[in-house]
Amino acid sequence: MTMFKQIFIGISLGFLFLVAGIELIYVNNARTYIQEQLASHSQDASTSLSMVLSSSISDGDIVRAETIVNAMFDRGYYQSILIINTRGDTLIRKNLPSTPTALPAWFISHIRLETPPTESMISKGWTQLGRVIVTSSPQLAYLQLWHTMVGVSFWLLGFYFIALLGLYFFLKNIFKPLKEIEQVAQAICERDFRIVKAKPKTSELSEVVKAINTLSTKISSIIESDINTVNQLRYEANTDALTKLDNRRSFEQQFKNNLDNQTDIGSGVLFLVQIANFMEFNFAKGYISGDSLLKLTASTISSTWKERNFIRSRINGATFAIAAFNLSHDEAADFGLAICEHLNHDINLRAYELEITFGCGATYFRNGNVTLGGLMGEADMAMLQSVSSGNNSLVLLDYKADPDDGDMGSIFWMQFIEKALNEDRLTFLAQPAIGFKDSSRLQFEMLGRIIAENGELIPASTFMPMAIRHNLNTLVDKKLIQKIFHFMNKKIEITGQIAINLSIRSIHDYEFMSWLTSFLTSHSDVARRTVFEFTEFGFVEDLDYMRKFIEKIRRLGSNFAVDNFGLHRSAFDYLQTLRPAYIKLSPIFIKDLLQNHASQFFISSVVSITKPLEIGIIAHSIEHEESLELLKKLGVAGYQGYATGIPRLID
Amino acid sequence: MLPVFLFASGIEYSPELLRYIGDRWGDKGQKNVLNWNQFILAQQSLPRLHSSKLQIEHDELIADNLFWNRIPYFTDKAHWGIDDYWATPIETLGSNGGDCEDYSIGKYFTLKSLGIPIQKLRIVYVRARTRNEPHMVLAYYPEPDADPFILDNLTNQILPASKRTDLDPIFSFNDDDLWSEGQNIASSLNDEGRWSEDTQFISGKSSQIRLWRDLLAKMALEQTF
Repeated sequence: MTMFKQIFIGISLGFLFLVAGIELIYVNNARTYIQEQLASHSQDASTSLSMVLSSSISDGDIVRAETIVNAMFDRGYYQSILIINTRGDTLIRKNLPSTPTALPAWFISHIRLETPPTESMISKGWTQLGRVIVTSSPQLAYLQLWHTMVGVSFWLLGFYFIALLGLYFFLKNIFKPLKEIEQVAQAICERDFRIVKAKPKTSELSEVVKAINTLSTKISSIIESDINTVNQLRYEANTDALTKLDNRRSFEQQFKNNLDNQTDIGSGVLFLVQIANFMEFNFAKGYISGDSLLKLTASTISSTWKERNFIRSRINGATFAIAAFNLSHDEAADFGLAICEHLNHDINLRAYELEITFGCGATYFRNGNVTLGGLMGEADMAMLQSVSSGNNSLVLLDYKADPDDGDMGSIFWMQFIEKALNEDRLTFLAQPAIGFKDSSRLQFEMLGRIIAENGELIPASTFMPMAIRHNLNTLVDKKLIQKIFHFMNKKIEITGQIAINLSIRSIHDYEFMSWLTSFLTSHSDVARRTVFEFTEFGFVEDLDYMRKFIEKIRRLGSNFAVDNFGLHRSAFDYLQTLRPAYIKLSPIFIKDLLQNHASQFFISSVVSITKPLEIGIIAHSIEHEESLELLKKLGVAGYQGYATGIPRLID
Repeated sequence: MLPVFLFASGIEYSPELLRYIGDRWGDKGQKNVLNWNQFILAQQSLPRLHSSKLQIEHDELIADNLFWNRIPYFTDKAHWGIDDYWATPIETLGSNGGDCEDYSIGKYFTLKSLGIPIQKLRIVYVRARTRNEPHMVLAYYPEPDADPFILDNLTNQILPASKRTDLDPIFSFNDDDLWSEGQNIASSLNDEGRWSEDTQFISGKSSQIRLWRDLLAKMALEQTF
């Protein structure tokens, strides 16, 4: 129960006791007063009767005495009037018949008005003649008491409810900041370092707010400054100092990472742009002009196609490499033409005395067996063609790495996947992630596989790009999730976290999302253990959508994690906003870890930033045992895929 | 609470009460008060010549009347400084002075502690015809409808009321006037309309007469010394 409810109930019960007490005291006082009045009233009656009756009784005129008594009795205030002589014989007796009363029986039995009989002596001179014994009737008094009680109850209850209403608003007002404090406290527990905006008037609460805000601000500023430092270092390491574009190292890292990540990359284009007569220009104009020409070229390239994210870099001298992914051939051609046009326009408009010529060669590729080297060669060839044409125009070549992977291959894959889905030849392997700390299993990552007709297991990285191209990804993802959940429900002895890879395309599908929501709701036991992994490249394009998706699945008990972490510019920024359950480092950083100090530095930076956010780090694609030792020393939480962690069928 | 004198016994004074009396009225007052107890004890232990209860009671009336009538008479105004003051027996004896109601009160409580049923006793407001002034006497009714005997501070003689033509009765009362539960006049009478021999009389709750009520309260206070 909330504090508000407890305090409210407590105080209102107290009020109720108070009101009941007041009522009780009031009614009791009224009762005492009325009872005294009744007693005094009957005493007066008996005294006056005794005086009046004196002569009638001494004369023995009982009839006259009775008439006097009747006159008194018939006024209706008396229960009984009794006249006895000195011997105790009854001379006159009058009793009020008991009349049914409209008042509730419990009232009369609880209030109980005592009407004691009062006596007076009848005497004539020195002679005692007898006694008058009078008892008042309580009926009228009961009625009066009843009305008093009802009236008092009415007023007291009225005041009571007004007081409760006042109390409610009073407490509500005091407790308003508490609600926000609670929300912020919960957010801080989830490593979302917010501050409380309310300014409570209550001194205790205001101290609490101050403490929370100071703490929250301090931690988030520490994290922020770490991130800034790392971003600055990364920027310096990955940026060409002159043009502020990516340098060659950064370009290659990003490009290779994207090529490795075939699930989310369907196609791409690589442009190479070179200022053909740059050396000449340099000689003629001097290095300063040469530098400004390069800067101009870079800014022209950057400002082309602003609405789209693409890799731009200066890879050496006057050569720029530009890459964009997941676009059609036509879009790639348009992009290339736009670059050429802008360059022509911007550079030659400057009216340099020397005309600038450049080459712009490109290669368009679809996913499949492509390598950076192959693509670079192809693009270089296209660029040379462009230079030799001499008219600063685009040469776009289609890259054909694998003759099997043409349109024929694509249709083959579609039929292959559809058949596998129909015949339920979808399965999954489980690969454990092992913690460095105590060698316990951190999680199982579930890896989708298609069982080919010959029994071979086809990995997801092979068939998923094809499934995406033919819009079969949601069917595959659904089927896999169902299979994994069904399996986990059956094998209750397998506990702990499970990770499932989802394609970013699937979660942008409305129908898939509503299916996933209801599926997770109805399988909440497994849902609570499930983390959905997405590649960094996949979701950085639309962080807003991702945040909404994460909110949705967190409400259902699942969580979210990042695979191939670390190459995107915003990598450290989304850590704070999305707060993944863990991140898996891009293999780029692991491959040559032992020799590459930049990678080591990068990993230790990631560790220091994720620690206060309580985000774990998992490394995979580890090739040397020495790397394990080093990763452990750098502070990585666990590893996947070395020796013991080979993916295996678990059903 | 007023002590209940069910069976005859002496009046008990606490040492504190006696010290208080001594401090207030001196040795003489203290002696007077102690004398009262001795008088009661003496009356109880007296060898009785008569076997009849009525005759024993009559003897006690005479002794009681004489015991109290020795106290000098003072008006309330002279003695206590206020117009109307009903003193307790201890106050009357201690201060060695009183007026008509103080005599009647003293006599009433003495007889009560000697074991005479209070139903037989009534303190009576009278008009003294000869002096034509308000007066108070104690009346003793041997039977409810009998002619009462009058104990009066104006005379040491105890006469039946019919002989006291100088007194005009106005109003009478005693402890019993207030009806107490399970105990009223009818139940304390036997079949012949006489007082039952084994009747236990208890005092009433409170009186309608203010001065009487105050008096009982003062007496209760004296018991707490």
